[in-house]
Amino acid sequence: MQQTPDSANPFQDPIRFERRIPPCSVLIFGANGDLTMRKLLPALYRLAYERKLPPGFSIVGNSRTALTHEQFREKMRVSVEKFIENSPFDAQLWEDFARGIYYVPGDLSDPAFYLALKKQLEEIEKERGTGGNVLFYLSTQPSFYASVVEHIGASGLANHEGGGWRRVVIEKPFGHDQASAQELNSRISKVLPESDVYRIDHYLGKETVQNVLAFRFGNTIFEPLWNRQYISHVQVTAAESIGVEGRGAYYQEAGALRDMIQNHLLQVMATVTMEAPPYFGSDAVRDERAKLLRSIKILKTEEVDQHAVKGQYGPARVGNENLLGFRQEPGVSPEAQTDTYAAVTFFVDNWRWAGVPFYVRTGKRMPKRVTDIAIRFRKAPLALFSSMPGAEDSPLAAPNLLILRIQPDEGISLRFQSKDPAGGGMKLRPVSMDFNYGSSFGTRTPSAYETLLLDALAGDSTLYTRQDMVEASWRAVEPILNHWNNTKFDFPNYAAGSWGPKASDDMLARRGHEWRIP
Amino acid sequence: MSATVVKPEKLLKDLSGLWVQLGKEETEGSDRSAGVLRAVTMTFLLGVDEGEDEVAAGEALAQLMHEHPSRAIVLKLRKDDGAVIEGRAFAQCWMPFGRRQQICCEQIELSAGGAAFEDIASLLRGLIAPDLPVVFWCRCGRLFEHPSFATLAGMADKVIVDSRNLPNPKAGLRFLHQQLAAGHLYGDLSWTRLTRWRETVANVFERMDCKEFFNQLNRAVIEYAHCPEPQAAYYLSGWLKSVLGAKFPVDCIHVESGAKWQIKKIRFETALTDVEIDRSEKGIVETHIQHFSARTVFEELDEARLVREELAILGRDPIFARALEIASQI
Repeated sequence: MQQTPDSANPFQDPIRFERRIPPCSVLIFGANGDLTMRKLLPALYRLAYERKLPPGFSIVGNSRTALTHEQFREKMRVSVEKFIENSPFDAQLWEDFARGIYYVPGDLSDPAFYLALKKQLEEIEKERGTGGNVLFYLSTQPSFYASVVEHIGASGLANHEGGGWRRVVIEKPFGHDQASAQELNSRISKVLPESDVYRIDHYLGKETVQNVLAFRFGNTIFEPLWNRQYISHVQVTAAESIGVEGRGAYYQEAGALRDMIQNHLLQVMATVTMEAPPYFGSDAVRDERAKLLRSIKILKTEEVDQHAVKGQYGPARVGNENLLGFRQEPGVSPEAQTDTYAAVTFFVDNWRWAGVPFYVRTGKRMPKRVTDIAIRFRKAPLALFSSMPGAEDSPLAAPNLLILRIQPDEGISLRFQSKDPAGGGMKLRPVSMDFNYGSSFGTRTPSAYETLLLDALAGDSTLYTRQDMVEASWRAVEPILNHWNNTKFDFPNYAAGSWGPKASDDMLARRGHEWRIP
Repeated sequence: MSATVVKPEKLLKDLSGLWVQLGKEETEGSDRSAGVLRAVTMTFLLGVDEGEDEVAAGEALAQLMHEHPSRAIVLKLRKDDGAVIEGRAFAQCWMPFGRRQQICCEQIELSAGGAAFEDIASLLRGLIAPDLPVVFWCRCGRLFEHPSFATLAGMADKVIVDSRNLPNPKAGLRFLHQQLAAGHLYGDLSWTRLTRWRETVANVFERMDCKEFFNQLNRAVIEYAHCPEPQAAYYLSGWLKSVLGAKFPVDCIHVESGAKWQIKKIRFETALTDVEIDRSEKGIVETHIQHFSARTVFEELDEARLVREELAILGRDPIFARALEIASQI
């Protein structure tokens, strides 16, 4: 029998209970925006619904708009009811949840505003027992990130006398190039240590991206094949069927390379290619990801045209709908040089991956929404079954292909050759062995924001990007960005509803490869 | 399909035929169909009683299959005492929302009267899916007392029972304790029902300095309804005693309540203040700590939800074992 318990909580049951989150508050800067209403509040409510949040959990919202606590609560109720996914809305639970929601209006550049925030947090700590633990969530314009963190420091909000923790979550983009990322990091690190800075990349919060680690390092049969000896090349595709959806003005400045490849897709690629960490801990996993990102070969300017393709969609009729070209979208300049499509051939300079091309592409207005990773293995060394005329060149004579499907239809497929029983003789035909996430685990999959918010509250930064990772990924794309900035492109070069520009197909064809249709 | 002589090969052949047939039906005449997906992650033995019990059990099984696709083998204990064993194989299929592919699990049903039921165990050896865990949910008190129970339990990696439904619940706790002590894996849904209570207690103590609080603690009180054998109160008391140690009394007090659940309230009494967790008749649970109160909802848990929690634990559960050890001595 256990002895008299000490100050640690002896009632915890790690086998059956959810991970313990200490009492705390979340302070959201820019709480009147889309992200808060569509993602953050629904995710936090869902966590409360599943009893994953501690008693006394509180939220403080901020924006410039003058609202009372009650008005803000009502606004959040409407958005939670509207945007909560695959979950019921429980009015009674909301009533309790809403009691912990507060609002402090104010101007982010006004020092007095931060003092008001401090006062509000102190009151909440007293009333609701949050222990002084605060997660600051920066859901503002990126240009405010550094100054908000500096104000947090100057007002004394970055520290708590009673020993409560203070963490900050920052949404991408983390800078717009390497120099600005370094500057941002440098200003933030003067206020908060790296261990308290959580740079969110919601792709890493997706269950299926996390499953890549389980797949690779929880099994022994794949890892011995996971190298240049057996893998011909890897294709990472993140296609969206939608256009810019009213975000034309923002997107015009960002572009696909910055918006998707520099952050999400390079992180995904690093997850697929990194070495096994010595243990599953935040820094161990991130060290390996960072090491991989640093190993990406940096292109020389003269190599960019051969290794990267920039595209922009033009108008097209798809089905019975006339789709606008990017330049016809509201808020977009008719001369815009923005990349709505980007494809890059990356190489990783290490012993495992030397010489293996990693084709990474992303685009808007593609035929469908799909994100997957296709690992194409080398052909069998001997064409033992190719005696039938034309069999070797047949499209059916395909090498093994492993598909990791991130979204939708999350799962894993392995294509291999099997004897075709029809017609007699030794004819082979590719067949697919499918693992479907939804059918093997019928439980509701948490949204990426639920996963990541819970991690940040628990102090687990494994799925967050670290300063060195951000800088390494900027370094990998910067030569491409610079070259594209100095080149005038003849746009549009692909029709809405297609799989991208011909130049992208040519890029793969030069190495004897072709894009698979996901 | 029924036969007087039931052979595992025949049932497995029926299953294979079923998959071929399902595949044909799905792919013929529809160019949008993506076929069927055969999914098996374990062998799930479900012991049921003939009659009403099997309907509720079938519903629970159908729910469980969605999250734990299995080869389900329903073992039905008939009320007769005849020597006939009946067996049939079929598939449970469903189309997940928004998908084009049906997911199907295979199900075998074996039924026998009391006298012939022991023969079922010999059939099972040929029917268990290879290389996958075997879980036996004994939902039927009569089967728990049947001589074949030990053989069936011996085939399983984990056995799940609900001690409050056993013919002698208190003796059931002693039996479970002996089994765990002997190294077998057992789960008890009467314990599983308490997870939310225990989690709420743990959350309460996240908010305070436990050492200081326990220095002032006089006693813990559990208010419960429903007799004669309050399994939930035994377990909760066993758990609190295992955590708090012998020097703090844990008192169980019986109260009248119209609610369906057994535990009504948990109170920690100190000289200065009480901490109280109270479940109202509507299922709302209020936690009171000094001037602070929080509210949460314990929605009613059906059997499928409880079994699901047990299926997620296929290893040892030392906290359960400690609580059971004490509960079995009450």
